[in-house]
Amino acid sequence: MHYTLHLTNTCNMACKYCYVERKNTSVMDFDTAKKAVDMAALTTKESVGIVFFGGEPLLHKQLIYDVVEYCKWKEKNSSTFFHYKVTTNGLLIDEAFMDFSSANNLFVALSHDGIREAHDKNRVDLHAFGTFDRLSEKIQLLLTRRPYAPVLMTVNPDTVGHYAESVEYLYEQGFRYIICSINYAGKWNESGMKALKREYHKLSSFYMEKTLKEEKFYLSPFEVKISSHINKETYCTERCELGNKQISVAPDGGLFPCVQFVGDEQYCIGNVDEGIDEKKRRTIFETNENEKESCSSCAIRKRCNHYCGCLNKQATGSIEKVSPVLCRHERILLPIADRLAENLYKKRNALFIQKHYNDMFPIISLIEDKTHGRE
Amino acid sequence: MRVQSIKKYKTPNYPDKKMIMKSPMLLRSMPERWKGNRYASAALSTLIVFTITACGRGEQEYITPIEKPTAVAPIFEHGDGRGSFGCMSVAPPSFLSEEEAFQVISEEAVKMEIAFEKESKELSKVKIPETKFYLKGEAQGYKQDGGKIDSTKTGNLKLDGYDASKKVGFEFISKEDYEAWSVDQGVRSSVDDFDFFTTAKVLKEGLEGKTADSTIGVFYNAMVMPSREEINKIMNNGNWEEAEEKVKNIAKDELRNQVRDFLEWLKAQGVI
Repeated sequence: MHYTLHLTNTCNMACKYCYVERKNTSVMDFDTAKKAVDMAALTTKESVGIVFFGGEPLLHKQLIYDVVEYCKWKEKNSSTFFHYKVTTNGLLIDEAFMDFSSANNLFVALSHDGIREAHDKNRVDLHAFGTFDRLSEKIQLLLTRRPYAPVLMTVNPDTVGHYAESVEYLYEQGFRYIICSINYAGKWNESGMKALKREYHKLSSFYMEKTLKEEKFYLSPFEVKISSHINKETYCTERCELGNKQISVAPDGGLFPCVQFVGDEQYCIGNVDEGIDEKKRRTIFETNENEKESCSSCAIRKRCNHYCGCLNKQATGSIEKVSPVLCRHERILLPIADRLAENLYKKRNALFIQKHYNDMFPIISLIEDKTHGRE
Repeated sequence: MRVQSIKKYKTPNYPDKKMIMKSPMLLRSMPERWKGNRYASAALSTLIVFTITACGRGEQEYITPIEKPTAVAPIFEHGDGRGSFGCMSVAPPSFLSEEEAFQVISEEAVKMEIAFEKESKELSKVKIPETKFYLKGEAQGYKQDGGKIDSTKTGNLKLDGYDASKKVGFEFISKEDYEAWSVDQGVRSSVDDFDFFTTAKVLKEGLEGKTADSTIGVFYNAMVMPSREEINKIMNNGNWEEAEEKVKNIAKDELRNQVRDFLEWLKAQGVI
């Protein structure tokens, strides 16, 4: 279970595809954050994730420090164990913050769109200037201190032509966990979709080449689709379940089933003072779980992302209405991912087999990394 | 742009985790980068043993000891495989003979460079299903309190086809097999029931552990029933031969699909 604390809706950037409502500035106070942590400890017996989100959460570093401190105190007085993650645009990363991250095992995920042409197109500051250059040294600092830091990349219709090149750029920078998201709410057209297909073919070659060289990495579009075949039933059960695996806490303490819903009262499922309105959470969850009429006869529905209410809400305004862009994306990606996996399996590539079929792969991989050079 | 359902999507040619757990040898594939690291290689060996021996009860059915990989393919369901035939039947029978089935299966297999020879391999101590002609269930619109195909007798089974170079074989459950394996129920209806699908499933289980180092597929007579409209057409024009041919072709297509799935499975297992 994760509790995502939306520390603020303000940001030091003004990304063109950002969905965060910023009419009124709001910042979470420590008391609200503590109540959210208390609720997390109460509802989750073992390990619970606390995710710091925004706006830009690093605008309020002290609040992050205080919340982590509170969680540590809480651990001593309950059976709950906390782990932490922050999603940041990176501009405010500095030595002190990285010290704190290392000391408290705070996982840092960086949002970055790849090469300059792609990144600066949308990821601009409040004066509309690109932030690519300012992030270069931040990336090096981040990866030096946290080599497993994931990078979150958004692909927009106006940057799709740079998709593969941007992934390769991030890889060259040292990122090994590359999470790619398509902006389904963007204005996609036929030529954009054709470009997307071309880029996935390039990325498939990239994936193949790196895997054959036994380089370890995670490239989300392919990993997820390959997993949807390999893990079949468990893939279905592990997918996002609105409000069941993740709760978003708004700056004012309102509770929502996922990050995209924050601020939309229609989807508010409680608040930190009164707790979760179970009936409402259940209703939203079940509404989302119902098979969409448009997809009920589709042969790939069990491997598709159409069940993600959050993405549907972002793209179509309704959790029940599947985005045509998402549908098209899945139809493009799935066969490319399957051909890639087939080729690697046909070669009996050992890294591919371990990565996808051995549940212990992350542990062995970590052992390898930690013992590297001890031979 | 619109949401568009995909009608058919080919099953990928790489195995899912359940298949791998049936033949976990594959998990021993060690990346070169781990071979030079004794900590990682030791961890892999230990963890694989742990994975194989310490799974939960729910997973047991997918796990076999490393040295004895399961060598009987799942039953690939194409065609109901169940039906009745007799005095009240208005549909032509879709039974494929052993010869017809061998032809269909060989045609598909040869595309994967598998050349089956007829009855060239015999397996011993196989648990062969005991078939019945009077089955429990609904037949011809009324309920009948017949038997189930749930018992076996031990005997030798001469496979219908076997490729010695690939060590791949098959058994097709034909009407002849069904008759040969039947037990006397002490009662017989004027309508004969057939359940080739269940027979195939029981035989699959009966073959487990009896295949030596071979890999076996079990196919079944699809027992295709024509649609109501087609039956009406047959009744109206009385062209029995044409109808029989038509139904037989559908049955052949269903069998072909079973074989194709089997070949995909063989590929995924790394057998071919």
